[in-house]
Amino acid sequence: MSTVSTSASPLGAIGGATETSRAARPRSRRAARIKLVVGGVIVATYVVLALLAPWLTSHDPTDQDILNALQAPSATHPLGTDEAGRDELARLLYAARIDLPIAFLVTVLPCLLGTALGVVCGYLGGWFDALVMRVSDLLQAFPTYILMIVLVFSLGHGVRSLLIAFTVVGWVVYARLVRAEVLRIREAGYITAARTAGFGTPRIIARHVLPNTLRQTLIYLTSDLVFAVTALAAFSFLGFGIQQPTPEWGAMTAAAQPYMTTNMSLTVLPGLVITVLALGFALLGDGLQDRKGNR
Amino acid sequence: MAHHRLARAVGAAVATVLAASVLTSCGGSDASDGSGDPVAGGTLNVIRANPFEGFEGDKQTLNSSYQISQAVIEPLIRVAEDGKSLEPGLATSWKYTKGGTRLAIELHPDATFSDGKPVTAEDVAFSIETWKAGPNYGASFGTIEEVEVVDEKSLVLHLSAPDTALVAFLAWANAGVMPKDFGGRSAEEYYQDPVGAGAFTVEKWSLNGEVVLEKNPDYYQEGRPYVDEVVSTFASDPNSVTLQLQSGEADMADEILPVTASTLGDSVYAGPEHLTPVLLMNTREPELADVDVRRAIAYAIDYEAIADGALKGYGKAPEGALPTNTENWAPPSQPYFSRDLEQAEELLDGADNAPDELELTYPNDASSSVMAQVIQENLGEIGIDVELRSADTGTAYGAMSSGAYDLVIFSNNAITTDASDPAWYIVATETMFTGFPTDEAIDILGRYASTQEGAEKEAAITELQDLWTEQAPYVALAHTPALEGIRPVVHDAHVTPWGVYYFDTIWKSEG
Repeated sequence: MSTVSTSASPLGAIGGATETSRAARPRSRRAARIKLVVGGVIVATYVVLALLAPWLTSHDPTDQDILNALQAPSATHPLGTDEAGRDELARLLYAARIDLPIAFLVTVLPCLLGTALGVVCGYLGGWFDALVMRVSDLLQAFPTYILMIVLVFSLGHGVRSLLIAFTVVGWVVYARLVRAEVLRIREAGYITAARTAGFGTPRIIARHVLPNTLRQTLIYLTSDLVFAVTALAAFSFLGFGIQQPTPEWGAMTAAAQPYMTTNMSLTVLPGLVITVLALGFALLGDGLQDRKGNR
Repeated sequence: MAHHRLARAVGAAVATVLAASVLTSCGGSDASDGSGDPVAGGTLNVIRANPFEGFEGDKQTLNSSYQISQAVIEPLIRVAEDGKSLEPGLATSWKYTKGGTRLAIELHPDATFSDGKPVTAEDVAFSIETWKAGPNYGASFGTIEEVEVVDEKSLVLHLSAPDTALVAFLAWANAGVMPKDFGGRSAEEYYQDPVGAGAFTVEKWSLNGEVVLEKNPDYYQEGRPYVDEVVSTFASDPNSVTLQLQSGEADMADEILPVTASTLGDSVYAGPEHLTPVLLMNTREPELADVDVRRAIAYAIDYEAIADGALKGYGKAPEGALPTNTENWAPPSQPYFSRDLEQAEELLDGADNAPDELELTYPNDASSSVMAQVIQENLGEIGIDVELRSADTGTAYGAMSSGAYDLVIFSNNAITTDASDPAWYIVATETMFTGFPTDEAIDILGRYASTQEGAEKEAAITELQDLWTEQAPYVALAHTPALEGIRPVVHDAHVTPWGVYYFDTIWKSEG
């Protein structure tokens, strides 16, 4: 004797899945919205704190008071003082004015270069495409951090070196991403129509190809900011990035390291600030990605 | 700030004008800190601040290496507890004769190597030839023309010229006594597994890992060493040092930073102020070639802030260009630099080529970092914008020795008992890599060596201090003590002003 389960019906399964999917979509949209809002609030808070830093503290972040170094929190110094007697709160706030713009720059510059190369390679193909892709293969063969350290070490300390190192290493992903999108788009009907209508290549790229690749690029850029924030901190921690006495979170963490057993907050606070900002950018990136998926 | 001494040899190479002197020293250390009679046994766990470079004396540049090496391959003479005088060791006596051109040495009758064979004059003669052949430090023994073996326990060194500094160098850790012909092995085999007449034998060693030394039962000093074993581990992180000392995992920590010392309470030994952090100024650079600019920089620095802030009170404002607390040290004839912004600005105004900006390279330890920031702020006050560049010790040294720098924070100290020792180092390194001419200093040091009168030696040291103060190729930032973390159960660690000590005097009041 055999029995047949009605629930095993293929139709039933399909119907169930469809219902689940329909039910899950609003939840997924809600989750994406929450991520975007939380991430946005975090990042916006940092931006606001950076802008308002001079009004939020009366201390100059580089003013030394060496005889009052490593002081515990007090009314004058709410988060205490660092190894050179500088106000820790002021340094944390002003560091946002350094870290945020640099993080933005070291992400945007490779994005611009990579996008430009990706579009040209994808649309035109040929020897230029082959050359750029081989160069990108070569760069991707190196461990990212090692290559960047080598570049910064040879170029010397400072922001300029960081910008060059991040751009040299970072454009590859953007170029590949955009090239793949362009390869898909260039055979689309509206591109063919544009060509048939006699539009020139620059116009087609600028008006029809590029705008359609930007969404994916922007999502990746947001995620890349997470890498930029942590990598910047890492470089400064290693002594390759921003130098003392400029307030910078990574450098502050490094400078405070010898005082871990006595003044742990000097290490923990900048570390925490970096972590929360990275989380903010990560949530924004995830939220954008999720929203794109839902569409 | 690693207290190291490279290119010592070059200094000794120019020490050809040396004078008659009779040094028949012999101070003594009663090796007691009032904690009662020494107790034998136990393991001494030591944290060293730097890698151990191996047992080949000529290749050693760091205190960590000197300390371990001399415990196994002991030198002829020992440094006394006061760090300024010498005391008998393998050599029970030494005496200059013939106007200081002969040095007669008697060896301890019971001195044996750890393989049980006696230490003989032949062994010492072989050792001296080995030291002399060293490319780095060989010239320190360059005045020894011939070694005459009188009998098994006596020898006479024939010198090309009177050399008053030689005895101090015979107490130097790099000058360990080795068996003749390396005991029948190759040099490489010997240095890998050395046999010496020191208080300990080698159980195992590595550059960055553990060095384990075992008690030498045949050691010539009755009752010593007290501990059965020394285990040396390398840790440079101040937090790790603090935690290991506080937990009792380590008994001692060498060359600790002021920031570490400030967390250790009573478990800190601070010697006499001696180690001298310095700011080197590259006189090859057009702006820094101007003595007025260099002196302006020296007057702008807040030495009190450096001593009290960067060095956490473990130090004092500089009293001269040379490390203090050595034999025959004397101050400059005029007070050394102190902060005087008015004077600094005046000098800078009169300078033809005053700099707007300079780069300051500093080793990335906590003290140097704060000193660099203090200097940056100080020079900012006289209109010089200083860009800081942190570097690991090796990179900072590389920049300095290759002349690729404007300003560098470095450190000078003696490694023997004599005031001329750090001065020779300065001369040997082209005024500590600043490129400042050394002719005048060499002349003064020659006169120092040619007299046996203490007052004349001190006068020569004053003359040197004046030269390096007036010309300011570098500026001393402070004088700071060697800092040693020592748990209260550890006794009789006699740390020299430059931070080295003998393991064999140490005992522990608990296992």
